[in-house]
Amino acid sequence: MPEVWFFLVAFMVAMYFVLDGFDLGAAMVRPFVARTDEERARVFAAIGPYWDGNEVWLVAAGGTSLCVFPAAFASVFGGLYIPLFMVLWGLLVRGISIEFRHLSHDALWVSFWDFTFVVSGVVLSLLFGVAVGNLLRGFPLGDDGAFELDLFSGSRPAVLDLYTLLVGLSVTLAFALQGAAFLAWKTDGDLGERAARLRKWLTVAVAVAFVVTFFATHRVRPELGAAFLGRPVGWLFVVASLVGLGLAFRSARALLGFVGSSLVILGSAVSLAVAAFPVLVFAAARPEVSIVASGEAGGLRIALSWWALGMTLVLGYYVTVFRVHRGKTPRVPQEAQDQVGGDGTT
Amino acid sequence: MADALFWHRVQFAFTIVYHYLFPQLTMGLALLLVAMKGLALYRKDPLWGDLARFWTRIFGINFVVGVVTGLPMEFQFGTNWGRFSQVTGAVIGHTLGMEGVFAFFLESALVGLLVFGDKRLGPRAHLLVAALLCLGTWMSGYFIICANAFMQHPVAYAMEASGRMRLTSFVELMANPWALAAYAHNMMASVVTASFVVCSVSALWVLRARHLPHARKALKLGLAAGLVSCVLVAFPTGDTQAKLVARYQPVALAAMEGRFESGPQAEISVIGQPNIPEKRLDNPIRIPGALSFLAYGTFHSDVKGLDAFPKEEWPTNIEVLYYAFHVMAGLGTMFIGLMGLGNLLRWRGLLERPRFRPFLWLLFFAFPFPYIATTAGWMTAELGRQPWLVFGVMRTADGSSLRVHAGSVLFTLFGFLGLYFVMGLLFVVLILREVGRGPSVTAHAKEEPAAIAPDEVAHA
Repeated sequence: MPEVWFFLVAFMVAMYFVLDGFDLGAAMVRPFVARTDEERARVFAAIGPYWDGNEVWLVAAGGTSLCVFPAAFASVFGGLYIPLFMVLWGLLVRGISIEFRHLSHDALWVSFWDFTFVVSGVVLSLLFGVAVGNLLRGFPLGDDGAFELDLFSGSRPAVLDLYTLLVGLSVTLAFALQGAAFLAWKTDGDLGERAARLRKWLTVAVAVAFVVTFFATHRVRPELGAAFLGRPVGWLFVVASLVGLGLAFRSARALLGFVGSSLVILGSAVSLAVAAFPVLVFAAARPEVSIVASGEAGGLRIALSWWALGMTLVLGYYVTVFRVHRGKTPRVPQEAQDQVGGDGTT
Repeated sequence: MADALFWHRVQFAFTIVYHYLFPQLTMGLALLLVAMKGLALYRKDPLWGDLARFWTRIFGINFVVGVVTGLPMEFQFGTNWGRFSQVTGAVIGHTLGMEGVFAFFLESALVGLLVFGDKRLGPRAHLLVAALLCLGTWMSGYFIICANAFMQHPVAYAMEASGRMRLTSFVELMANPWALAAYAHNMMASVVTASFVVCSVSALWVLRARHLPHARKALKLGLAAGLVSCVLVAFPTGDTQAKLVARYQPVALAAMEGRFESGPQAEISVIGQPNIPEKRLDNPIRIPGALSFLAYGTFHSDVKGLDAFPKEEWPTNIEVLYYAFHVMAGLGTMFIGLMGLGNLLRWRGLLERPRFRPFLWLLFFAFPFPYIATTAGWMTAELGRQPWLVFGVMRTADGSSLRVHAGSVLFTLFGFLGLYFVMGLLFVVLILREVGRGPSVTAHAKEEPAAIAPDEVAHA
């Protein structure tokens, strides 16, 4: 049962990366694809209906891991104390940037939130990537299951070191690709075309970054590759990732491009989970104290029943929200933008 | 280590108190919104529709701040309270996981439809959205109160050899008697807050002679909901809660009342200052037998004082606990009077008479007090639980993260202070702006087709 949960939690995190990936990515590519006030407003409008639900994947993954893997939850969150709060602050700034921006049309107000939106997008993407890098490299875990890790350090491994920043960069690029692919799909006109062009370039960048990260990971934690080769089921996800790259690069249809970039993220995240299984928190120096997903089923069976029911409902919500907002994001009328007061935020 | 523990507690207390300023309004307001939208639809009264739109905007802003300040709460279980998470995660993780999976996803899908789906969905579907969103926020409340109830009155667990808890009964966990009582009490308090805020804004409009037709309607609803919820918050929900404290946390009850000596015919002190070194209550004004009645239903029942418990089981901050409880109970009593008077005046048609203007001022200035009462109520619950993190099972000192030192916690605490201060200012500015605009502007904008468009941006 813990083995099943290993993959269910990995799935939730992967879904978070796929879904919030396009919100964060849209924030990052916005300076490159949106040139006019209207286009900037339209980027916000495009992700507006989705970002909150997308963020819930992170909250739900957190709550679920507390339930099914309390020791790993406590170990990682305590050990990554400061970077984790930076993520929380980034999410806070991102959320209010999206939701406060449209409440006034004052130029200064709007430009402030435009700026914080982009910065939070970059910082969050980088930090999520750094977190993945840290999980892959492992932690100086003690017998008590806890660890301390410097934020940065000249020579020793740290939360931010060359390897984790490399993973951070790869994830940042992958999210940027996801954002560009989403905007190419959900917007039209100049905005959509610029996003589609950027999608191509980012696909190339992601491919290069992933190859470099692959070799770096192989140096940092060689046993991951060996374990992965012994699990052919994981190869499927690598293939999915590669197909995704191809679609994101070549597909003329915007929706397929978005499916492609989503496959890149989902495929690589699940492949990593397959390679790391069953280790949840890897103790770099003393692998024997690593926290692994194993043991009694206990309450995990109960958790599976509410989780399955909940996920079915979630699927329904996503279908509904995407249906209600199907088609391209409508233009945001500029005269309404300039009005002050009583301008129909309904 | 002791230092770090203190700052862990300060940070959690600060972030949870700040966070809960927002959901306590949204949960109650969601219910009032359903009422407004229902009245608009079935009475075919556009005024109710205007009001619903106005309050939806207030709801939207509160909701967002509630969401972003809620994120750190769950994660602090891991960052600051690692040992607590390790020991109890397999039990309370169920409620936190379900909150995400069942409540947050539902809310996030619906809040956008509520804030800007008005025209797209039509009135019936939009009312359904409001009702489901209300359900979502109220579910969320139950899940999190279940987690808290487990800490107050642990049930449905077994301690394993590893020192970690195992869930023994899902049903028992979800039907914890403490959770049922605390939930009823808390949700009624949430309706009190929302009613007071609605009344306060409406009173302001009447005082300024603006949006009068809207203000009258809103006052009718706000005063009625306010009176009902104020009564329910005291009886039966508050009363049940007090009896549970008497039964399961008698030491907390003794500290809440500043009762140092055990004995029959226990009195309630309306006022007085707990003097811990001297073990007595200074300058008390007392109602004899009232505590006995409150706790056990008869005026002569024996109620234990702090002397019946070893000192290491006393709540760690008796003074604040005592005042928190008295502030909550005192304000709660006054609320009933205020709302009773308000309904009487409205019923007699006297609310807008010049000689009753002071009452409108009172109503206007009343809005912060439900927030204070609710915060004080939660402080009573949480300080009363001390020195336990899980009552009778795990000490607070044993729950903090092992390797997070005071310097790190202060760093993040300062970060929160700064961020929350700025966000609070922006929040106040935005709310004042909406209140200043009032509802009729929206009604006017409704007639302009162009005004629908910013909906696309305007999304919460």
